[in-house]
Amino acid sequence: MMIEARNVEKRFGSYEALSGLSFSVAEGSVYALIGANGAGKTTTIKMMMNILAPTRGDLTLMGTPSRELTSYHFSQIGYVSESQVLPAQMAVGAYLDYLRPFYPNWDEALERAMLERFKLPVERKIRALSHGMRIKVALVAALAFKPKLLVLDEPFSGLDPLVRDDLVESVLSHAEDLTIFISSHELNEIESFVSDVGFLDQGRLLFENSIEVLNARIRLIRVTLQSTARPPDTFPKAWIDPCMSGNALSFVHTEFAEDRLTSEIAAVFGDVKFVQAEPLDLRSIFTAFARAEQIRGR
Amino acid sequence: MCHIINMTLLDYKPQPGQSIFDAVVFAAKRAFISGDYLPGQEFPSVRALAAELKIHPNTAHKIIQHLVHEGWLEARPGIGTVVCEPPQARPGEKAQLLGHEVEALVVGARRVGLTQAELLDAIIERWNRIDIARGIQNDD
Amino acid sequence: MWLHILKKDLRLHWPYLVAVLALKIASASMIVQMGMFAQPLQLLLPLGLIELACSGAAGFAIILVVQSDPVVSNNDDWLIRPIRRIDLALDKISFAVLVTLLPTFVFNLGVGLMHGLDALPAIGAAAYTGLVTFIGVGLPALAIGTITASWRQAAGIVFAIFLTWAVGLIIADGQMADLAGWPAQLALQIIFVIATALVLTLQYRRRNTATSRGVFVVAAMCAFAVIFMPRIAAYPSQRISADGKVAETDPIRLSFDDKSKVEVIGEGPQIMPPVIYVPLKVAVDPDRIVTVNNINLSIDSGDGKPLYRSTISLLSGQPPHQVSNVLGDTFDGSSNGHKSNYQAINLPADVFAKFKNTPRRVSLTYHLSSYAPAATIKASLPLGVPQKIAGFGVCEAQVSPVNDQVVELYCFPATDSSNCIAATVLDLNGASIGAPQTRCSTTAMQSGLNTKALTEPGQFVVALPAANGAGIQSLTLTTYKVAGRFTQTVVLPQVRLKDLTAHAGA
Repeated sequence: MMIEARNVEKRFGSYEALSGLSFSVAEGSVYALIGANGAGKTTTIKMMMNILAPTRGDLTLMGTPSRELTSYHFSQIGYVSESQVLPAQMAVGAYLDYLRPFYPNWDEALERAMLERFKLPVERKIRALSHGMRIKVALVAALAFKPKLLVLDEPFSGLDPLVRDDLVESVLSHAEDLTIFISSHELNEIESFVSDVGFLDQGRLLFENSIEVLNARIRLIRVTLQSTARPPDTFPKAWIDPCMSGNALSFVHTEFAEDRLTSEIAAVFGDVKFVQAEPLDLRSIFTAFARAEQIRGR
Repeated sequence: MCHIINMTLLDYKPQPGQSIFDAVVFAAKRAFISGDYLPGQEFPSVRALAAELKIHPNTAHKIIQHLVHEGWLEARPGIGTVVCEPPQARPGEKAQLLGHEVEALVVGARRVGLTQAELLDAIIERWNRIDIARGIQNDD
Repeated sequence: MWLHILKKDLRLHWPYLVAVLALKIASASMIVQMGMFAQPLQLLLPLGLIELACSGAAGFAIILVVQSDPVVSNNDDWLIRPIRRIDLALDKISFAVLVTLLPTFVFNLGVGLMHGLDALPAIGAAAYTGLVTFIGVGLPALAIGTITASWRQAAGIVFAIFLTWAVGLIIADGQMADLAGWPAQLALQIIFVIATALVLTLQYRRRNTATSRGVFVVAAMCAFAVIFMPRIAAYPSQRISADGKVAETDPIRLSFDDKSKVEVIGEGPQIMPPVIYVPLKVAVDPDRIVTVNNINLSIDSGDGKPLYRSTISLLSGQPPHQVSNVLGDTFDGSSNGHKSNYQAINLPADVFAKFKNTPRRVSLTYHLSSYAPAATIKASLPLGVPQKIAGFGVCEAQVSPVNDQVVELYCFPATDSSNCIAATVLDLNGASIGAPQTRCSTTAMQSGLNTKALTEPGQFVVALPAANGAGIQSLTLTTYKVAGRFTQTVVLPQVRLKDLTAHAGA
């Protein structure tokens, strides 16, 4: 396992940011940690990078507890974050020159290729760069040494679609032999290359699945009821986010199985006019769960 | 990534919940059939495919391996992967298509209320579109 | 790798280094320009300000450089880079050395050599001043830089410290510990070194800002305790630190002269704290100089119950005394000639009011240092010619700008120069003219190093009457060594304070 968390807890004073968090990231996978704002994604990532310490529980990276990560480990971890503070008064080139000797695997040809591809002005000071260019610099400084693990914390935040495309292309062109841990709200951008998804809600992991399993078990079900039928008062636990409009009722089925659907529908609704099952994209999956958690919270 | 030369000619639209592997393989086969890629032409590398389609290189690798295995592509050392003549149908492939997949199409069409004529028109229109595309390629 | 990080810091922050060096050059050239006699005197204030600005600039530069790779941060890039904490810490410490120890050493050495000191003592003294600057400015700046997140926070802490010091000064009524004395200096240096070592370790190893800030506050409180420690508590530590040598027989005898009557020489101002004049008989051994370090006053009731205790601060003629022959802090053979000598003591008004009418037992305990002659040198010091005098330093004589009947001798003191000196003018036959003029100075020495020659213009050593030919004829200079420290107590068995005032004799 590249990253493993077991019952990780994080408290800030009396505020419990994370409780009982457990997840695993396999080598070579692209793991997306998704969740609403304030769910604890950035806190999780900061603990992984040993910027914060877990209050309780085990968090290991590359087999080592996060509190014991050494410079050897950091020479194999690339990190890009929306809130990362790069040295403002250094020029882009000077900054990379400064970093290079710390990394034994730094590939200067790769660095030059990435600088050219991103069209980064080597002489300009970092404080004079736009946010998008700064993230690109951070990505060069995260990939040039061919890390084993790439950690991305909201890398697309505040970037226009073209820059996002550039970033995704760049990451994917170096994604062989790389484990990627990404937390992002831009679910459309990442869906096409994510292999595993973990949903973080208010400090707890609601579920963790591979993208194939997730796509297989989640369906948007549209039911057209008989005109005289009344919607039931309670739904099975696996059905979330119900929505009623006239005779049509829709909900998200979280444990969909093609062969069981008809009988499940009959058991709840009796006789219906029409049933339709549609797969959902990652963004819609997220909103369905997020809305359901919101309602449950109330 | 230069978006003008060496443009990927795969008409791939990611569908929600669909397996990326299946979608890209289908798009590739469609491209080969329509003549968007002609035999002897160079097919994008794993990296180029991954970057262009925004998919993981591992997935791109699996796709190309699959297409090579099925005979659509050929690996040429020093050059890359090259498009072949469309492979011969394997025994049972025709029966599978005419049986299972046509049945699925017909059942689906009847379910949404298409008439037989509408379905046949659609099939003919798609077939002709490929012919036209192939015709244009052949004229070059 | 720390050198690599240091190069990065120097490339980014070289203007700060240049600013500190510029201020250091300015102060060094001012000292050299003022020369032996501190001319013009008006430069002393700007010199002090420039030296303060230099330390301030160095401290500020260190804080800014430490904060360029901030420890109090959860977002800075260095946190996720394979940069070893020890390398980062070494880099910041090296920068502090470059900005405090090195310029101080180099420029003070330059000044010392220009003032004529020998190379080895100059190097030793310059190294010491460099180290003191590093400990006094560099270490606190490093600590503050690692526990604050911005230069504003750091400035806030510095301001808070300054405010606390000012408040403490007001509360302690202007009394501070003898900061030039080595016990206070050593205590402060130990506090700075230990506290900074703790803070740097806590911050660079564990990023434990809460604990580090606590350590800093505790250290600041200890430092303030040392600075404002009352003198009476300080003296026992000085007693412990004394040579340990006790004179076999005391070279001075002080006793109560109950037969003398006060000779009033003038009216004192009305609004003044009450002063009593205790008449004493003084007998000093010839060839000895005795200085007073401290006097403890106790007033007891008849049956020995202590009623009042205090330490007397030695005044030097301000405000002008109403009697003549008031004792100062130095005794030599010339004191023996006087009929009566008076120890002037300021008392708080309420204490005087309490005891003025009833007879009480008053005792004065003198804490004394005695000096014995170490070496006598004959030197011809014509006016305006600086000369190196063995065992003393580089000296020069001038006619006093204030009183042309007096010739003043100024020196850049060498490391082994003594606190006390007696000087006599010689006539052409080599016989002494007039009585020896003695003076003991408070040149601060730290274990054999005299740093004033590096950081200040010349020191005033002794004054001789021009009438005797000083400045033209040769002089003998006798240097004195500390011979011992001891105490003597003078007891006035039954006395009313009223009888000791200036009006009593009228």
